[in-house]
Amino acid sequence: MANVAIKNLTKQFGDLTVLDQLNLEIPDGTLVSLLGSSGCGKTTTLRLIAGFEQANEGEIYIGEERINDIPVHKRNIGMVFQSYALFPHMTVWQNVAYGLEQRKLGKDEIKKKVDAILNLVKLSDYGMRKPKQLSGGQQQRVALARALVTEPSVLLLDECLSALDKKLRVEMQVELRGILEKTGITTLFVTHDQEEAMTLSDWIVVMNRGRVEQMGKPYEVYEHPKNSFVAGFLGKVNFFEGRVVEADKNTVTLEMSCGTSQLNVNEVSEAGKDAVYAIRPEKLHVKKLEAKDESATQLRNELGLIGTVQFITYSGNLSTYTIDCNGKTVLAEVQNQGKPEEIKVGDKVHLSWESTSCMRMEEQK
Amino acid sequence: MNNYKKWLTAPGTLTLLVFAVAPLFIMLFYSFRNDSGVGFTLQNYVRFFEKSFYLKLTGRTVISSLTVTVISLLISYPLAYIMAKKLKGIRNIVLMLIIIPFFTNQLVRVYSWLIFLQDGGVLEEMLNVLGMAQDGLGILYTRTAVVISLVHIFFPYMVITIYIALERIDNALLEASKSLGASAVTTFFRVTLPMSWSGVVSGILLVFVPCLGCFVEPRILGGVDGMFIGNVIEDQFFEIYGWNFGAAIAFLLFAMVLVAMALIHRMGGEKQ
Amino acid sequence: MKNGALSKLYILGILLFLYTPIFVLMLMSFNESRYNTLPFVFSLKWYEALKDNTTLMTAMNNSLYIAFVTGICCVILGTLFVLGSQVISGKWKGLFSSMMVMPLSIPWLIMGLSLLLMIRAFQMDKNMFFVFAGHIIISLPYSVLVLQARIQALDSALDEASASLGANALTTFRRITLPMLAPAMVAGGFLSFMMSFDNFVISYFLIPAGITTLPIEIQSSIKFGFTPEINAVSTLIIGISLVCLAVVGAIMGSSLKSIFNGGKA
Repeated sequence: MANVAIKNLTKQFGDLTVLDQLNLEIPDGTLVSLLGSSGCGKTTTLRLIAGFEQANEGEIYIGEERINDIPVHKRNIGMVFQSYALFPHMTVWQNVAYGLEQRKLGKDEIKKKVDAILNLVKLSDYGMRKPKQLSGGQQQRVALARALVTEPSVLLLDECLSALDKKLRVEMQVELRGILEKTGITTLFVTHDQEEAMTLSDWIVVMNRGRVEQMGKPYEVYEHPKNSFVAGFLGKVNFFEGRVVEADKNTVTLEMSCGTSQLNVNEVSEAGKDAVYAIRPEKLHVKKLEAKDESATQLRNELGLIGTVQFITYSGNLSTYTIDCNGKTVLAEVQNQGKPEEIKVGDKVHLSWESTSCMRMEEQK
Repeated sequence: MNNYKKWLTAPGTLTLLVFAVAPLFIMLFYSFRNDSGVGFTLQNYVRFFEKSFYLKLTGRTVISSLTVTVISLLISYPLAYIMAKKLKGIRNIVLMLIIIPFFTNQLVRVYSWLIFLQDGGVLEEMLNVLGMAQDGLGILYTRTAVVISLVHIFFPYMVITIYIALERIDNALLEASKSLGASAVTTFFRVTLPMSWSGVVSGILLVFVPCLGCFVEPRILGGVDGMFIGNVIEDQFFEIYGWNFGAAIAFLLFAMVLVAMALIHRMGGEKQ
Repeated sequence: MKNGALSKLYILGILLFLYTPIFVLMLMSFNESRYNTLPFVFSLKWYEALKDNTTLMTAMNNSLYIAFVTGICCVILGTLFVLGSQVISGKWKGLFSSMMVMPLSIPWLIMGLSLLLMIRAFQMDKNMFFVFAGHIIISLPYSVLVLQARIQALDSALDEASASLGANALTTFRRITLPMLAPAMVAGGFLSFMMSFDNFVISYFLIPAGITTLPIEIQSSIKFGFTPEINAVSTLIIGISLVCLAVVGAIMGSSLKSIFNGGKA
């Protein structure tokens, strides 16, 4: 086991810069997810660590050792491929034994280790089958067993759950987490699925255009995204973008393209500057405004936004309201409490939130 | 680190360069040689274009090859269509039966037509039995016999290429076309045919080009009337020893092949 | 339903066209008559005559020998080529691949006589080396197409998986790539073998005086008057080809089809 460190890693394919001075530290024994949309450089990072590609600049360390110039087969890595890449002409047992044979282990030792790992992934009875005779989930476990059995210093997982259907994927996530906890191996997991990354990882690294946007614990990157890319990539979000006209203790008056609004926020920006604030739909409180309601005037005076409901989508546990606030479309999610909400399309509503929920984004560009 | 691996292509590529590409240039070189052995001349080409015999023969070769191609297309497309879209259980058996003749000697197949078509042969006997008797069929040693045997040899190529193209078409596309109100005929011309066009084009290529250069079939089945341009080249090399002139005709044939390939490829380009 | 019957009738018609002459030839090999004419009287005499025909037997041996060497060379060259072209990208790859299959679209007549001219240009006599070269050139595309189709269907991650498990390039080739390519090597080699075995044109132009192959013998028999022994030989060739085809078909399955669209796809 060892930590993995990446320093100023740059990779170009022709004119295209896929990785741009990437820095990354994967602590020993943790599971780190590289999360990003396709083309963000996450798979390239993985392939550079594995050694399938050569970096143009920068260094990769496993433990204390610089591995840039070490060929793949001497790096002592384990990898699970997106397609699993099980050798179709070998049985499950032979697939798993393959890596041990390369390490010139004795026959008895190989048998002991293969049996143990097949037991761990619950495939003891399938050793003599060919990969084609297994289900997708079973193939996945074989691929995992094959990568783990050699006790690599680092385990690399390349979108390895994406081929499974949703139900199986969720089961496998839990199982994978269990197996990895037992082995305590340093793991790097590449995925474009944010939910998967949240469930599995100790740390999440959000990547964009060959750079790290943010690295943090799952709740950190969700609750405290650094910038609008991270906020937008993980979960849903409403952005308020404009020029600060007035700044007070916990409120800013923001002049946006669709009008000016006063927002209570976690952190104020200087007046006269451009700023972006973000708030997640589930953090909004939605109150219906009755025309003659006495609370109406009260609410109008409170901080927040007033708008008209345009759509309502019902998805079981949640209702999502699409609300037009002076030309600005805002999403709000409300937990269903058993009684259908009174709010209907066309109703006027008042939106409010805790000041900590409205987060200032680091400026982009 | 993968750099050394690309050199694995070298042996094959070199073999091709030395024994397939270079000889073509040598052929070109000979075609400009003087029969006296000194200096270069255009005489060999002039001779070809001067005599109407060679031009006529070239014309007839092209027309015969086109005939073979069109007949092959006419019988292959329906067959491929039936195989791809109508047959279920016996599809692979039929496919096998179409492929098997590829593995029988081409010469033997030509020879089998000789036996079948000859006067007093099996076809004549069969027609006799049916009462369509006629003493002396007179098919053998004509251009017709050559065309029949060329179709026989080459149409399976076309069946296979069209079949593969048709098999790839998702049946849902045809259903979609019909659901949008298109008749079977419209569906065929607007969806099926354009989507299988690539198979038709490669089929045409695989039939027309070898026909242009054939000389064995005409020699055996064609008689005096059924000769192809290939036979003139053969004669120059084996009978008359006019190698330089032979090389010139062969190069013109090669040029025709290239032009034909370019034209056929363009046919493919327009539709896709 | 009427439609279906019509379809089957059509297929039957085509198959009759395809097989009747071949069938007649096979039938005639068992016929007493010297002139390939009816009536049919069963006889094995042409097969017996074949046994004593040393010219034909030598020709058969030569053909098998040439085809065998050609098949082996094509498999080796073809395998090396497709392995190498995996790492070549861009326009070079297309150029190399289309050059490899070029002999498919040039009439054999031209290939054969241009090689003959090459021998002449070097002021050599016709020799077996050029016979092999010619046979390899026209048979190689078949091996390449089958192997290329196979290698393209392979998951490139298999090699990477092997490397990630600690296998060096040689081990990966021996334990992963080679076993995966083996069926295509057999099928491709068989196709090249058959192309060479059946080839008349190339041998016709390049074979040294005094050496003969089966197709050349068949051709000269046809040219200089019929001997029904040719029917018997042809029937044997067809029979043996079918057996080989069945064996290879069992190994390779439907990928023989890929020959016909391997170049494009």
